[in-house]
Amino acid sequence: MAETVVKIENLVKRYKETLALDHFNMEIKEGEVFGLLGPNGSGKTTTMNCILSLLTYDKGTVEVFGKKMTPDNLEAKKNIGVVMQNVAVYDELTVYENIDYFCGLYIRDKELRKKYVGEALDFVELNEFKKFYPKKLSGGLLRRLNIACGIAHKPKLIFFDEPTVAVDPQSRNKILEGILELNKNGATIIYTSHYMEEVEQICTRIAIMDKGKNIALGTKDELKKMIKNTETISIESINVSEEDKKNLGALEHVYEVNSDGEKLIIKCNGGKHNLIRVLNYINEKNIPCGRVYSELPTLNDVFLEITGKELRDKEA
Amino acid sequence: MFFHNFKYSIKATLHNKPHMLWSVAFIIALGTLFYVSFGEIYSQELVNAIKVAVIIDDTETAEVFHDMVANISIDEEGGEKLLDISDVSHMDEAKIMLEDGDIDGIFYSQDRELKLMVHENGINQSILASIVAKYHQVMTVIADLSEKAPDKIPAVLSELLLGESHNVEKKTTTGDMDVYIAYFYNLIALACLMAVNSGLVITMKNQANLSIVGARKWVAGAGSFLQTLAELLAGIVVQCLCTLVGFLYLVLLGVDFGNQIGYIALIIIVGCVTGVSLGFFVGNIGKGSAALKENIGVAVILTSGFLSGLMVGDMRMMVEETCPVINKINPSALIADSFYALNIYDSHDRYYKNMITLFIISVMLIIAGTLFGRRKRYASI
Repeated sequence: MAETVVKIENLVKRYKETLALDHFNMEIKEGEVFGLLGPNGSGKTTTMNCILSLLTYDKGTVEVFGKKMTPDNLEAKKNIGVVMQNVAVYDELTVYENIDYFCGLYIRDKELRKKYVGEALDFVELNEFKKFYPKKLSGGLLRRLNIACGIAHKPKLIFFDEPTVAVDPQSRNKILEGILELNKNGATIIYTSHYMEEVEQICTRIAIMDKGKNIALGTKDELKKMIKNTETISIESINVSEEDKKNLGALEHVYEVNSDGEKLIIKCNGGKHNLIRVLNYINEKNIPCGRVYSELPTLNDVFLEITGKELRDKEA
Repeated sequence: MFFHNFKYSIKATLHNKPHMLWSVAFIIALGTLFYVSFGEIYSQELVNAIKVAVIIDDTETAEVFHDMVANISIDEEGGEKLLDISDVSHMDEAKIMLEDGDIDGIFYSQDRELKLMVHENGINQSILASIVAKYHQVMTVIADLSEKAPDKIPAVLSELLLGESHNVEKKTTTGDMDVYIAYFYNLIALACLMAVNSGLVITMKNQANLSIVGARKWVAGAGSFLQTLAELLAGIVVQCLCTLVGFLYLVLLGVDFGNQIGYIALIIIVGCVTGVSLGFFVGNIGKGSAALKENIGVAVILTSGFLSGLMVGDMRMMVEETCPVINKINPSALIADSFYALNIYDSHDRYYKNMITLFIISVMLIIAGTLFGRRKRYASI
């Protein structure tokens, strides 16, 4: 059975009057890619900083590698890597020097460090930029440098705090692939994000956070099973009467029918042929319609159903 | 690990262009300003004699006047004197020279009285006016004596005209009493104290609540005493280099620091050590923001400098009279006093005492800063 790498029990953290973590519990096993998913301000980064013992907390316990995490727990710190949300590098040092400097905080042996720095450069594909200063790098390359500085010393536990914010899709995919590779090589990953697609893509287990609470925990399939919705059918450019809505709602497995004038949204719970049944009805009634989508539930649906609000603000 | 930190701290500091520019430019800019200002005073005091014309027709006036200015005029052998009397004998010619600016004034006689003609006002013209005043003073004394004691006229006249003084200057030291060099000493002292900024930068790069790099280092478990010492040493080395470059510039500019350059260099090194340590200490106290700590750093520099007399000359004496303990622990006062001791005393006892005190203060500040900053946890970052 895999060992517990991080264990949080009953963690309470307040920022003056604001309750940032409200009796938060979490346990992460070795080899997991554990996702902390939640909207901005839900307490993801606070959780991470409490685990790292950067922040004081009001109540609860945090254990890392089986021992209480304190600022002096250097043995644990040696095996932890952190990729901060903001790029944490020296502007005055080159790419190579930055990785070497931060790796040097963990690895004293010069030859070993050289090897590790070379591997980190290869990993983030920054070899051709190794003599560049950070100011000369694009946003995506900077993020990769940030990652290299956090993982060069080959830690057993790596925290990624929203590493893909403001990154282009190509770089984002590279970062996500890299994280999976690190996990394949034996590292336990804690990944915080408010991008549900990313969390779904890479995480083996997910904790959904809201207002400092762990509102749902499990694999993505387990989370999706927690909610009523199993399929959402959307039909564009359709005008249906109230009677049609009523009839559609009466179809097997359909539990909710909504229309905003431009789109008809039908939510189903269970069943295998919901889309066919809905399309047959529209065909029978000869109702003109545009494009039709059938979507499986997302983590946003999970969040929406549990909290009654969207996981992420609608992006412009 | 020590060398690893030292190497990269040196690199990072050297590439921190605004910090480097400020550290070097401060002393160069102010030093140049001082040199230009004081250079003008020096040149007027020591080099240029005041050019005048003497057109005195009246024989008696001419005789007394020439006797009076004989001691302060350039003779045939040259030498530094106050007056350079032009070889002009006609008033019209002298007036043309005055208008052209070739001479600063014309001494002439009118109704058996000495008069002065000038074209503009200035320091030179004021000096010439004082000579005329002295002449009238001499003539008044002669007039008085001719009525009361005519037999004493030759003796009194001789004394007045030769300008002999009964005050005897007794030097207690062979040191340089040049007041202007003290300004350059104070400038270097202030430059040393500017190293507070360097100490603050080091702290900010190590504290999780002050910089993101600090957070990464904190997470890495960085912050051991040796690592801190390596970064402080790097800061001190760079700061010393900057200040020494500034000092070298002043030497090349022509500021005469005498033959005690080695001692001055030691003050710069110890001063920079104290400056960096002070910044490190300030940066590590409490959990305030970077801006707050920067403001405290500036306040510390200015207060320390103010109390030591870097801005108001007599302040150090006033502090010495009211609360002497401040002068004994104020880094700026100790640096300034070291320069003073070097400038004035033949013995180096006071100089070494100040150096040792500064060093002890630095060590205490580093230890206290390390203890305050070590493995802090934050309520928020």
